[in-house]
Formats: sequence, structure tokens, C-alpha cells
Amino acid sequence: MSGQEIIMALIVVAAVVYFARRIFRTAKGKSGCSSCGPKAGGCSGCSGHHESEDDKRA
Amino acid sequence: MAEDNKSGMRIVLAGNPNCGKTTIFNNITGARQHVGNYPGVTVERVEGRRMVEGEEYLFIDLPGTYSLTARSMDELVARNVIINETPDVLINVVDASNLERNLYLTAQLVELETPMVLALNMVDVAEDMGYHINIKKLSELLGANVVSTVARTNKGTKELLSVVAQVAAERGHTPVKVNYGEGIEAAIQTLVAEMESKKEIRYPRRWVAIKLLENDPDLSAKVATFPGGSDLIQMAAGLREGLAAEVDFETVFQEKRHEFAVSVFDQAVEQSAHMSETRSDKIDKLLTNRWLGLPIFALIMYVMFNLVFTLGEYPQGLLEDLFTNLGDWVNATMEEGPLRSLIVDGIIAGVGAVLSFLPLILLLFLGISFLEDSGYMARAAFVIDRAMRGVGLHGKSFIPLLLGFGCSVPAVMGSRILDNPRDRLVTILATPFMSCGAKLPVYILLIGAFFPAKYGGTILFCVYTFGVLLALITTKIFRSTLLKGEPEPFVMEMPPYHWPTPKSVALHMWERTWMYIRKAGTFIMAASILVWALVSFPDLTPDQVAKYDAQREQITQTYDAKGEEILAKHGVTTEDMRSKVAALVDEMNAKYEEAQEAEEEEEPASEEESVHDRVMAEREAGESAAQIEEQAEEKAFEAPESFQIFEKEQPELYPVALAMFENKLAMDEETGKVDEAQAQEKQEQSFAAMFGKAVEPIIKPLGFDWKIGVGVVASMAAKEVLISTLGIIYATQADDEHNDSLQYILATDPNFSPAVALALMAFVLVYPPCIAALSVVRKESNLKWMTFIFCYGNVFAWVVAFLVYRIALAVGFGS
Repeated sequence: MSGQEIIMALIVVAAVVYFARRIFRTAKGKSGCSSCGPKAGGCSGCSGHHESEDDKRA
Repeated sequence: MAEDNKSGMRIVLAGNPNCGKTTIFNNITGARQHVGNYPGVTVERVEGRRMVEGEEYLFIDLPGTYSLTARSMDELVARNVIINETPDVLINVVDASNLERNLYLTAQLVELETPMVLALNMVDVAEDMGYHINIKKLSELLGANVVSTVARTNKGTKELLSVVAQVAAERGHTPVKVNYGEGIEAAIQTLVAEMESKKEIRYPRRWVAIKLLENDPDLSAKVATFPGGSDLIQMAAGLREGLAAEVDFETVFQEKRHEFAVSVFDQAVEQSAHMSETRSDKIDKLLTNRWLGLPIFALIMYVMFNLVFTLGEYPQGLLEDLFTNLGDWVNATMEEGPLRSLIVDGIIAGVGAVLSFLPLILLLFLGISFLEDSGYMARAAFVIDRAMRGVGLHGKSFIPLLLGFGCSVPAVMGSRILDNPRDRLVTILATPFMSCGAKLPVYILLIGAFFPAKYGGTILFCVYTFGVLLALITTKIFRSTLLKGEPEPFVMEMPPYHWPTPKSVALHMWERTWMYIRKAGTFIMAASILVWALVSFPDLTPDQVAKYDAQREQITQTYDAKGEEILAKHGVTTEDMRSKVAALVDEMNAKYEEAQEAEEEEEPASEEESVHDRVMAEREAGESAAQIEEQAEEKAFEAPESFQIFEKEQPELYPVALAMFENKLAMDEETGKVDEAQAQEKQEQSFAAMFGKAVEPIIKPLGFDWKIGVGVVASMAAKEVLISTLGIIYATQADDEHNDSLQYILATDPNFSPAVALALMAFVLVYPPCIAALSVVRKESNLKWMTFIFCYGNVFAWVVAFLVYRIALAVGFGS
């Protein structure tokens, strides 16, 4: 495998993992849109949808 | 979070909707929570921190509520935070220009026995309206410190913080009671006395007694969990029965609180003898006029969409060029290989296609922010309330639906402000028809590619209006079938008009811009890489590659032979002569490329010309792409002016070098065709094509090919992915020499037509929201409704797109 092929493969794998993780967490019902992501502290960019206290405790 | 801040102070902001709580919260914490000059923007608690006098304070912004009963979810959220989390200080934000009504909530907050500071907000508006508020008197009557603020201009925030710190340090609380009348007061005393032995009840006892007498279901359920709680509930029920003959329990608590609010207002506020008609009243006479209100609303929206389209097109073109040049630069500097293809055809083509629409997103949200902050959106809700009620939508639904133009996630969550679960569901079902910000780039891409620039804004306006009409029609259907029932009456407060501050508008725009950039740089980039991999693999077999290599070899041999003939014909026989000719051909090549680049730069699209206009002009010049090609082949090669220098300097070599250069150009063209055919074959057998071709029979009646099919399915994750997917598919099938914009490629693709573009826009408008929004639908309703929205959304989108496509073909949009 050439250097380009190795780097390309690593990038694709990283993207697959990132994408799958985002989809999985979103589908599990963590709030936060796909822009901000369901991260701790809730969505910081969009209006109105902030992770509730119940979510954080869960 | 509670555990995180055991040592710090906890300060809660509570107040009526649209009294400026979130603006004060933002001023204090430096947060950028969304604020709007209409009620119901905050539907959940929001937290922020700030150091005050050397100590870290946690500030909690609550949803705006008119009361603390347990009628709706936002009221419950607000109440539970205050009673369960025992804040150190409660900041009651009140709208000074509407003080009497705001004091109704204050009457309930004082019963929670939490140290309180009253933030008397919008005092400037109150003064303009002729109110003179005696702050000292107000403070005495409410047993709370009062601070005047103008949140919009950040006046009074420092004073408010200083008073909050003082109250937090003293932890003092001056008891103030709302007098509910002799009979009820006696019942309250009985219940309070009974609670003396029940130490587990941690809530303020007088408040618990009042709520039990009010028969509050949420608090009764909480009390029932304490030892002896059921006895207490029974006792309250007995006391209610005993008083039933003399007291109307349905209304007495509201009446007494209202009396309290009126009494405080009358004692603390003086009104000018002649309260003049305010500026807002005068404007409202026109904007909320029974006959003119709706046309004015439509006109404002029409102007906004036209401005977005016309002003945004030029910077969009510049960004497109920027990404095209970036791709060219990477192509020129990096060695050919899969990594270069991933960067150029995957990341730059995908993310670049999405990012180039940033100026349009910015402009749309500039318009929406301006209308929100000015107070017009509340009037818009009033104006279209009649139409909404006609189909069974609650007037309050306007707020979540309005949020839907930004993102469906807060829109679905915003439906919490509706008290009735059926009203909530109907609103959630209507939300996908409000085109979210992510759909805007798809519309702009297709409108710019297939319709004249002068109609762009109008078409965009029509798409959004079509969405609203579909929302109304489907709601009517749901209201008469699955979710029968009449919406409850709705009274909406009209906030005063004011000029939005540049800071507030800039903040909104920055919010959206940053969100879009971050999404493009993370989620869209990951999706682009995935789509690129699916479009690029599996690779061609060695036999297939060998077939194309053989074709290229054949072309090289043919043109090499032609070259030898040319050299022989011109008598170039010696090695020295041959190398001189070769050097001259190289120089010609460099000049030719320079001339080509200059020609491209000389023809930038004018500000008022869409890609469609450019393609139409090209077609008019040659009638059809095939004819253009044919003419180009027939036409003799015209040497650029810059070649004159070679003719002057080396007149003997020039004719042979020119013939050799023409020969090279022809060979490059032939080789390019083979490269394109190879890329095409590779793409046709890719994983993406396999999937696209599997779904093609379903979408064929809509005029969609497999490429659109892949885009539509991929965009279930996020709507912008449709653009990045099309960008990648077309970039990987093009050769490295030709990086045209996606709009141009679509406009010249024979599989696309204005009818297909209209059908695709209709499909994108109607199909289910992205997975993040679907996930929130499940949270706010249940799995059944989420599945229903997904299935019904897809089927309905197909039907609408099919009808739009057929109608468009019938009226001549087929080519």
C-alpha cells in the first residue's frame, strides 16, 4: 500500500467511526441537533433545545 | 449539575414570557442563548456561570410562564426548578410596561419563600407610556429589592448583580402573603399545623397548603410519596368540601392573586393623566389590520426572500470560485492518488458545495432576526392566527413553527408550550413543512441552476409558501381524522416594537453562521468522506484498467505518428531541429493555458445573472450542447494573440510548431475522453451506484436518476448532505482539468431539467426531517409517532413530487 492509500484509509475509518457515533447518540435520543451534537451542556448554538437536567442525570 | 455547584450560589431567573429574562441572562453570563421579541423562546432551563464578587454564581434561566400552576410542561419545568433546587436568590424579571399583569406571577413567587430580587425591566418603555413607578414602595409591598433594568441596552445589569450578591449573602427573606380570605386562610393554617409533624416535606408549608387546596395534581402526587402525605391530601379535600358552599375553588385563588397584583400596582405606580397612544399602537393599526395584515405579511416575506436571493448570489459565486481554485491548487501541488481524490473530490467538492451557501444562510437569518427582534413576528402570529385556527392549529403553534424555519429540533421541542397533547402532536406533524435552514441551500442550488435570476426570489418565496400551505392542509386532515378536536382559544401578548440592536442581530447571525460552519466542518465533512468512499470503491478490475490503458496507448501511437508526418512534411529531420520545435511547442502550451485562464476570468457571472442564464446564453449561441461540440470540432484552431510573438521571433519554426501543438491538443482531448469514460465506468459500478440503482425504480417516476436517489437517502442524516453528495458524485466523474461549479454541472446535465428541479425541491420540502429532529419527535411523543412521521413523510413527499413533476412537464418545464 502506498502512503496515500494508508492515509486515505485512516481518514475514511475515522469518518465512519465519527459518523456512526453521532448517528447512534442522536438516535438514542440525546438532544441537540446535528449541528451542535449531543454533547454535555447541550446544544449551544441553536435556539430552544438545551439538554435538560434529566438527560444529564441519565 | 447541582452536584457541580454545591459551594457556589444558585440564582434563578423567572418571569413572564417575553419580559427579557433571556436577554438579562445573556448580559450576565455572556452566553448567547436565543432571544426573540415574542413569547415562548425558552422552553427548557438554561444554565450559565459568572464570577460575582470573587465567588462563582450559577444562573438558571427558566421558561417564561404566566403562572405556576401545573397546566403546561414549561410551567412545570419552571416551578420544579424553584421548589426542588432551592435557589439562593430568585430574580423575578418583570416587564415594567406591563407591570400589573406581570405581578400576577410575582404573587405566586413570593409564596415560594425564596429570597427575591425584582428586575424591573423595560423601564424606558414604561416611562414612554407614561408610567411612573415608585421603586421604594414596590420594594416594600413585595418584600424584595427592586432594580431598574433595560436589558436590551444592558443597563442596570451591574446594579442587579450587586443587589443579588447582597441578598445572597444576607439570605434574608421578608414574608409577604397574598390574603385568600378568612375561610381559606383558616384552612391554610390547619394544613400548615398538620405539616409541623411531617419533616419530610421540604417545600414551603404555606405554599404546599395552598396548592393542596387548589387541588394541584403535580404537587398532590409529590406529597403522596411522603409518609403521612395521603392523610394530608385527604384533609385538604375535606377542608375544600367544607368550604365549597362559600368559596368557588375554581376561581378564588386566581381572583385573590389578581387583587394582590392590582393592589401593588395601584400603590406603586402613577399613570399620566393622558396616556397617549403609543408608537406601537399606531403601527399595529396598520400591520394587524383585518384586511391589510395578511397581504403586508406576505409582502414582507416576499421582499425578504428576494433580498436573500439577489444579494446572496454574488458572494455565493465568490465562495464557489474560492473552493474551485482550492481544488485546482491541490490538484496542481499533490501527486495523483487516492488521497488527492479524497481531498479534492470528497472534502473540497462536498464541504465546499455546502459552505458556498453560507452568505445566503446569513442573509436569511439577518431578515428573520430583524423581524423577531423588532416585535413584528408576534403580529405575524396574530395575523395568521385566523387561518391557523381554521385548520385546527393552536395560535401558540406559530412560535414552534416559526422556529422550524431555523431548525426542526427546537421547533419540535418548542411545541411544549402547548398545554394540550393533541395540539402538541398536530404542531409536531406540521413542523417538517417549515423549510429549515438546511433546506435553503438545496432550493438555491436548484433555482440558480434552472431558473432565470430575476424570478429566483419569487420561486424561493413560492417554495416556502407552498410548505406553509401544505402544513395547513395536512393539519386540517389530521384534525378531522387522527387527532380530532378543536384548539383552545389563544391570547397572545403584543410586545412593543423597537429597533433591533446591531449587537443582537449580529449575535443571531453569528449563531447561525458558526452553527453552519461547525456542521460543515464536522458532520458534513464526515458524511462527504463516506460518500466519496462509496462513490470511489470498488475500484476497476485490472482487466478494465488495462482496456483503458490500451485505448490511451492507441491514441498516443496514432498522434505520435501524425506528429512524425507533420515533422517530415515540414522538413524537420535533425535532432537539433526536433528539440527546437519541441521547446517551442512547450512555450506555446504555457501561453495557451495563460490565455485560457484569462478568458475564464474575463467572463465572470454578473451579479444579476444566474447559472441558468449563463447556460441559456451558451445554448442560444450554439442551440445545443451537441451542436457546440460539433461546431468546435469543425472550426479550425484559432491561435491566441499571444502566439504572435512566436511567429515574429521564429518565423521558420512557427508553422510546424503550431501544427504540432494542434496535434497535441487533439491528443489531449481524445485522452481526456478516455479518462472520463474510465471514471464513468468506475462510478457506475461503485457501491453508491449499486444502491442508487436499486432505489431508482421507485424514484424514476419523479424524474430522479440514481445520483439524486443516493443524495436523497444520504440527506436523511442532514439535509445539506444532498448538496455535498451531488457535489462529490459529479466531481468524481469529471476529469481533474474541469472543475465547474455544481450549479453549472447540474444545469448542463441532460438528466436534469427544470421539471426535475421542481420535483426535487418539492420532495425535499415534504420529506421527513433529519434524524436529529426525528429523535426529538420520539422524545416529545413516542416511537409510534416518530415512525408515522418518517413513513408518512416519505410517501407524501413522493406523491407531491410526482404531481409537481407531471404538472411541470405538462406546462413545458421538461427541458
